[in-house]
Amino acid sequence: MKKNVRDFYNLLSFARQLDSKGLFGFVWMFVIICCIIVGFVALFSQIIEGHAITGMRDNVVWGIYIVNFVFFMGISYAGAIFSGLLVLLKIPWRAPIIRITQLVSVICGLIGPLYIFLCIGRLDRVYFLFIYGRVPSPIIWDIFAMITYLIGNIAFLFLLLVPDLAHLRDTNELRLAPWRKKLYTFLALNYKGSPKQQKDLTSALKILATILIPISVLLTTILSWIFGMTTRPGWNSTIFGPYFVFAALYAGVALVLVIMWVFRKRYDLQDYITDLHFNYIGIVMIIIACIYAYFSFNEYFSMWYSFQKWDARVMARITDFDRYGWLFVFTNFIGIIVPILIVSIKKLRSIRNIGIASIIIILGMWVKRYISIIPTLETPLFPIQDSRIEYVHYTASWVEWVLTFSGLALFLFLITVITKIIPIVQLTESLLNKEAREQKANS
Amino acid sequence: MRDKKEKTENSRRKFIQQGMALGASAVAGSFLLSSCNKKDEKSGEKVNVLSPDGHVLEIDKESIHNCRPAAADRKEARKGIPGRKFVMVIDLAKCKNARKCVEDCQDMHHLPLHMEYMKVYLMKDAKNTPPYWMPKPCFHCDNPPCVSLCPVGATYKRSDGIVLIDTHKCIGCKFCMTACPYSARVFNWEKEEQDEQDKEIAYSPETSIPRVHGTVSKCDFCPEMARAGKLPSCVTACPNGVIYYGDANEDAVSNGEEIVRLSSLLVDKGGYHYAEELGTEPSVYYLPPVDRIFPVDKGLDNMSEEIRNRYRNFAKEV
Amino acid sequence: MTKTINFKIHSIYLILLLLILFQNRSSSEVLNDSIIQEDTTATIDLSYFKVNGKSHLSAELYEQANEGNEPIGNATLHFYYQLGDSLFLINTISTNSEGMAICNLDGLDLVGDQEGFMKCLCSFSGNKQYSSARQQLIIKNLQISLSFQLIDTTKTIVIKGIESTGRGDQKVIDFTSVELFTPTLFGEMLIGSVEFMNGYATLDFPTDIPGDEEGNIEVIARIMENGNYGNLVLTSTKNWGKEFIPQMDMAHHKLWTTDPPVWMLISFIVLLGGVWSLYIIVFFKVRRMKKTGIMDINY
Repeated sequence: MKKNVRDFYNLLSFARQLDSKGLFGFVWMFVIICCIIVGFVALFSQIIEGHAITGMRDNVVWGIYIVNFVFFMGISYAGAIFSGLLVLLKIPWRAPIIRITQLVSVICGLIGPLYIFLCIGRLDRVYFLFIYGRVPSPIIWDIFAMITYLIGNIAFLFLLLVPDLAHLRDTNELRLAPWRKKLYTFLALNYKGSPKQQKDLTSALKILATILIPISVLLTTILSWIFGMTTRPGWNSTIFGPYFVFAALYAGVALVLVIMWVFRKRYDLQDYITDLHFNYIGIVMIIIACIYAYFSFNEYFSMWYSFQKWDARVMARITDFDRYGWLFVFTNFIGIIVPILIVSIKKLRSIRNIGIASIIIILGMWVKRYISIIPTLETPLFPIQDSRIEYVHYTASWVEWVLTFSGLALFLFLITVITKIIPIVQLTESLLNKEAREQKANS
Repeated sequence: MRDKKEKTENSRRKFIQQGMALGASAVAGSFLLSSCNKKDEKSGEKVNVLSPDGHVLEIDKESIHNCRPAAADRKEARKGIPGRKFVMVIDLAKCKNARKCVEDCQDMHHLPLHMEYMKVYLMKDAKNTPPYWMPKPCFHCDNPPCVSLCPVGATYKRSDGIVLIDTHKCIGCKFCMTACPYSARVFNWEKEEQDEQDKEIAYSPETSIPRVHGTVSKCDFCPEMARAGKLPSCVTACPNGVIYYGDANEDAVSNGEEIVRLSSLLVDKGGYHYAEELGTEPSVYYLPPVDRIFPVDKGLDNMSEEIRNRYRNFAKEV
Repeated sequence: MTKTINFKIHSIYLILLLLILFQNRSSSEVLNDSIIQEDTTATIDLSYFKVNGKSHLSAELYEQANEGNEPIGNATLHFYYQLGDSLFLINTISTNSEGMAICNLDGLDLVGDQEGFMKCLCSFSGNKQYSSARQQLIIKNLQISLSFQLIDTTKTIVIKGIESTGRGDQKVIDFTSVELFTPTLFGEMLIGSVEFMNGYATLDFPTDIPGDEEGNIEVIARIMENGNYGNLVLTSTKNWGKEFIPQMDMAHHKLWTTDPPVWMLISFIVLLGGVWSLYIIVFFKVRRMKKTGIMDINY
């Protein structure tokens, strides 16, 4: 283990962002912070004006806030499931991607719940959930499970980070400010890499990885139950649980791919994040896409085939090309078939194409949440008989859009800031892998 | 001469009714006498009324007239009136969209123009079936999905079958609104509108006044009126006696004009629940729109353009 | 026979008593009372009520207007009982704000004429605003009684009606209809309507009306606005109703109650508790790791 501490000859090669300064970085941060500030303006106007300022009305009571919530939480759970699997299955190529996956998971898990707060009418009474919480309510399951999950997920990220933090504490290669050194020393928890410590750390990580996978699956299911437990057509579906799980995995894997793509380009991590990784994750993505497509088909086909009155109305609305038809085509055909084609046809399978496919998937999955939430709310059992158009059809207001984009900005902000402090690629394991490869080459 | 006789009869009827009302309220408990919302208007004038057991009682005039009875406080309002099970029966054959139920309900609950606890829908079940008007309050289901899902227990079902909302407990998550298959619930979107109004009135879930911004509210079946032996305003306002309200335990419902056996009304006229298949077991029954008294088009006569617009799209769909 | 004599003596005493107690005036004197001439005419409605054997007169004083009656409050009304040409003042009562005054007849054995008619009179002597008014009421004294009988295993309500003149003569009544009600929360529900035949009216009692916990039902017999008898109300209670079991017939599916299903609560606690106990194990492992780190100087 002493070797690891000494051999930091190429730390810079994969932890460049820790040290990087430049004009682009400043501009990037400036733009992001501006977006977040605009978000705060929107937030204050919502607090002052009340919910009337949003596009939500009596029929469509949940707008794109809940769409964003489901979207971010889905990605978060997917990230946790992936990183858990990567740790448990000891996948040899995990080192460069596990940190990205975990970071995405934790940051999305922190941003997602903000959207529930935006959607709640009385923010000042949120603590009632803990005082008066009723066990039969799926929201209570969600709240308690989400808190548990977030704590576990952050701990998981942190514990996997400890050896790296120890390295950063001990290295002299990077010109780190004294406060950062102090921070690393504090966070490294006296980790020296002794076998005893390794044993403790590994078993702690194993426990967390093992428990996080079922928690994430359960949480995604609970998320689906918030819709599935109602009597609403289009929501009250028995396959909603697994359907949501795979939808979440699908979006999650796509976001991980995009971030890998971006970081690889930005920080020249070609040596560590290789074609191989994109190929492997691409294959995982195809498998998930197929399962997800299978669930989607099941859901829509049975609704369409039996053609029950209420289901049929929702189906008619979703497939109406004046309303949601194009979104339906985008999310269910373009969002599934295009990525599958890109990854499975060898000629098309370039890193850039996989990145583009992932962006399509992410957009498609956001749209998917939109057309599974809004059209159902627009189709109550009693026809909406209202002269006010905003009560008949939902259109998100500027406040909602601004807050959606500043949520995205917040995601980018957090991921930029955090990756300035911690290495995006797992140091210890990468070094070990590199050494192993070199030894092999030498012998 | 005939005129006079009619008037005499009216006054007698009034006298008898007063007596009856008092008798009922005496049963309902102590809520009647401590009753007025506007306290300074209490006149102190006394009125003699006759109780059914023959006693002539002298009570404050304000207790009987022009005054909403006092409602239970938040804690008491969770219990329900003992031994009661409130139900409503709506006779679709008699409804002509007079909208008096809607207007009087709005009046009673201090609602703005567009906020309706009671709504009237233009319905048409199938292609060849006739259109009809359908008043729709909250169904106060016996298996209420809204209550099951509420995370904080702000909405609850009482022993008398009434589903109420405690808007001082509601966090405004709107989960109940998505859960209600009948679109019975409305949200207080606007901020100023209700914060300023009704400030002096003590809040009770039974009256739903004053409303609270950022919370959900809905038809409350007016239990504070029932405590005083009075019918909800939607029932008394209806010019056609469409809406019957009463206690299923007594097997009696009243539309303000007649009191009938609930069971025989349902049996004779073929009562049913709307969307029975959902298993929500509503407390509101409908009587089918057979032998309709009014043609459906009449429902839009003398209605404002705004009201007509509501049904325009639906008419197209039909 | 002795009963009749007693009754007669009793009546005479009563008349004497009235003579002493109340100011005795002839009917012509009352008529001359109306002195002030005013434009507004007041009207009196007078009706007779007998509720569970207790009688009273109810008068309503109002001014007839085009828009409906305008009640005259705080006006003094005199109630008289007329025997032959003599008027006996029963009571003087002020009207309330509704223009109503109620005169209790309890304890007064009013005597009818040969056909059983009793005459009552209510007068308003007028004031600065209103002209005087008077109203006479001629009424027969009817006594009804309610009994519950099982006739050939059929539950039957039997109402007996006897007209008494107050001079001891009694007569069974015919053709008068009586309505039976049971009280409900929002008013009285009609059970049935029957006519008297030979002094009796019978009604097969419905078997499925809900009563209280013991099946008690209150039954109200009413003869209302009858030309001969005025308004009669008689209430009685019998345990012929369906027994009321005070619980809601609601839901096998009890997710809406305040208490969650036990299995759900257990699963919730077990799942959360399980995860948190694993977290605690992780915490202790990490702490141990941190502690051993201090001693690992070599590394």
